[in-house]
Amino acid sequence: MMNAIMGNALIKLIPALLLDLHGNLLYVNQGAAGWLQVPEGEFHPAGNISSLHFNDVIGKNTGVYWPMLCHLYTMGRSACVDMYCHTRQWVQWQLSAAGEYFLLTGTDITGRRPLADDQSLLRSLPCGLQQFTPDGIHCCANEVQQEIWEAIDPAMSRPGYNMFEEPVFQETGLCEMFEEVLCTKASARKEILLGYREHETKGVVRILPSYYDVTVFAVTDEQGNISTLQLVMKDITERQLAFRRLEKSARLLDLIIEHLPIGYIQFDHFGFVRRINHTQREFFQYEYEEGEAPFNIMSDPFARLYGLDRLFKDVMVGNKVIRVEKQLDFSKDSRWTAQSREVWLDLTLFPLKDPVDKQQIVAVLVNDITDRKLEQQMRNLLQRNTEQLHLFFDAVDMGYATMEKDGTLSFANRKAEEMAGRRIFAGENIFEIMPELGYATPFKTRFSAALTGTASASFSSYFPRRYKWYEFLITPLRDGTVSVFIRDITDSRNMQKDLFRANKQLNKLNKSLVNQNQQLEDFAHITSHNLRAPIANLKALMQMHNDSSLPQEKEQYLSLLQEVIFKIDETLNDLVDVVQIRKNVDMDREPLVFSERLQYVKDVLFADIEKSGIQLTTHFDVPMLEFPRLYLDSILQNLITNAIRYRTQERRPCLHFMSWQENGYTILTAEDNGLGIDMERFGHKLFGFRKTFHKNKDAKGIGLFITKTQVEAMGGSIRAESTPGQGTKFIITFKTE
Amino acid sequence: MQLHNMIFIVDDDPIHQQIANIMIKRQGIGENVRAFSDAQDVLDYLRQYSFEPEQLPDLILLDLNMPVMDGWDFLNDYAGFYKDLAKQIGIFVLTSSIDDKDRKKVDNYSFVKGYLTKPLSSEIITKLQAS
Repeated sequence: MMNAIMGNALIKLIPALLLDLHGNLLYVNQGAAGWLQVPEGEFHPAGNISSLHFNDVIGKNTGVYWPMLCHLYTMGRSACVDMYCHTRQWVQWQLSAAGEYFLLTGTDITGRRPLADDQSLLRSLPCGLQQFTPDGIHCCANEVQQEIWEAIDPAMSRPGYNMFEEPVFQETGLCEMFEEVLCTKASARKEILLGYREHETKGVVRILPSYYDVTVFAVTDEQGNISTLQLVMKDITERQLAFRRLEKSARLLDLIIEHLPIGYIQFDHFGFVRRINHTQREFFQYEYEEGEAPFNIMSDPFARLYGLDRLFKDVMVGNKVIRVEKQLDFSKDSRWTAQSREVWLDLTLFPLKDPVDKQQIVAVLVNDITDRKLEQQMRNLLQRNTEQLHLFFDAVDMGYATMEKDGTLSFANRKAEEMAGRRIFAGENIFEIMPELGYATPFKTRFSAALTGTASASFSSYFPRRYKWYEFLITPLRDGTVSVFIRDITDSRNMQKDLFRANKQLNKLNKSLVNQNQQLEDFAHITSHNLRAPIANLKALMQMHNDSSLPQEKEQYLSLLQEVIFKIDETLNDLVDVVQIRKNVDMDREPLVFSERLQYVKDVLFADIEKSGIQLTTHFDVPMLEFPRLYLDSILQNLITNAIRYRTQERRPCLHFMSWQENGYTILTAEDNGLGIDMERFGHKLFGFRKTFHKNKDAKGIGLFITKTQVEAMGGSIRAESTPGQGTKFIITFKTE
Repeated sequence: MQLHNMIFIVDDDPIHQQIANIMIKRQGIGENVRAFSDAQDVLDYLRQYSFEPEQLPDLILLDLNMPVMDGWDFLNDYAGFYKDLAKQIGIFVLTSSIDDKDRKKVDNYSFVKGYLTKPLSSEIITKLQAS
């Protein structure tokens, strides 16, 4: 009874379990239920499906299963198992027999349980641990710590080493940490660069820094006095280096962005400008003022005007890169930029995930392509102009080519290609395409000459192989090239030639017509004066004859009639002679020697010459003349006869003949010392038909008329110079063929 | 009917001179007819007797086409002194030329009373008489 009461009392105090021989739980008291997390009370393993076994609640957690524990018990060993339970208490379960059951009693052994074996703990600690006296003198260190010091300075883990006296540590800040801990008694933690290590990779020795995570704490006794100072060190060089590298690359990236030669603008998730790099700041010429609300691309009127807000949204929502060229007139914005002009921008917008906020942001690369765009526009314009010009030149009915001074072509229009007889490509040489323009040709000579000048040179040239006349206009241009216009003037040349020929013929015809007309007029005059007069006499005499009744008168009239008829006959004969001469324009010419013909005429006129005593002299520089013999004889005879007829009694008559060459004509002169003639009064009639100027009975006014007619019929001319009382000089110009 | 006291014929054609002489005398318009072959002689005569009206002719029949001095030379010279003559002389050009140019040229001489073309006929003599 007492035993049972005691048992109950103990049961209530001591956590305990009752188990059957198989290890099934039969009863769990309150204390044990708390530790084992099972319901308190009785269990019935036979009928209860929710029966629990030792292995489920303890074996599983400790690794010591029921057969093992029973075995220990039957072997007379201490059958107990330590279990760490969820209450963070260590519990020792002690097995004992209780009749036909087993009893497990639990004891809290947390306080009694040693942490671990000090030596093995220190040995397996993954970081260095070192113990110092409060004065800083080294006590002991685990292996890891000794290895650390070995790499830096082995002295630090030697007995008696005073850490406070080490200057290196004062620099690194380790001493400060110890002093801080001594002062505050709280632990201190810091990442410290303790020194440098040599590191050899592939034969190259590199000096690497050694970073350590250092923790210092104080161990105090019951009175609160510091008994030891503990140093815990962990090598964090790898982590630190990785971090440094990251930091370095981040900073580099930052620098790169800042000094990127193109503009960089970063917008946050809401469209506010968060960053603008140097290039872009320069471009905007914008100075941020403190407190100013940053630019927002979604709400700024200028941005909205040019649809930049939509662009931003597209990038943000579509999560894609957009590249556009935008023409923006910054003069419409005065707030954000001083760039008050129109610019072309090449914009690249790309979405980014902010590494910190994890929000979507947008970065924009800005490239000012205004110059390029303008240049492109200019080039387009120029190109268009050039094309138009080329079209224009193709339409022109003239060959046109531009070339270098060495003849390398840069352009040739369609007409020029037609002239060349094939397509012409830029870069070909004109002198190779058309060898007939090349070396030692008139074109080459003129072309080279034109290059030395600055003015255009124009000339035409005949190409016998083509039967073509081309006219060239060569203009050296200011850029050193040469522009050449080529015109086919064959037709106009031929026309010109034909025209010239026709004109010449026409002139000849005209001249002959004028001549004929003059002759007709002369003839009309002659008939009017020289024929009408005797005929009028005839008429009058006939009338008088008819009217008369006296035979004596009639006879007188008839004798007068006879006289008149004789005269008419004479006149008509003269006229027939003249007409004959004029008709025979193409009389056969023969080579005549002046002196020979003169001798012949002198023989004919022998009597007259002797009677007058005239002295004939000659000076023939040109001895010969191609002329009809009959005419020359007649001319010489008339000149001599004239000189004799109109000689003066005051002096011995002389006649001097001369001949010479002048301007391709043969000149013959006959100069006498006779009466002379008043040229002012009679000059115009001198060579007229039946014109006489002397009261000489022999004067018939026919000789010089015939002479003139003969000279003119052969294309020559005659004129006279005279001084009354001194003499006359006749000058005949013969046309030579 | 008016009788001309003295008539000069100026013409180098001797046959014409004879014809004119005969016709004038036959028509009876003048008794004293003188023929000149050289116009210069007529001018000399006129100058010589310019102050003796009874020596000056009433009428001169002038040919145009003559050697040395032609009718035109005569007219040009005469134009220079006819106003000083003591008597008004009727000058008629009597020529074989039917050239209109000659006729018009003669019109320029106001003192020439008429342009007559040869042959001399009784109708022409009558005209002379009327003047």
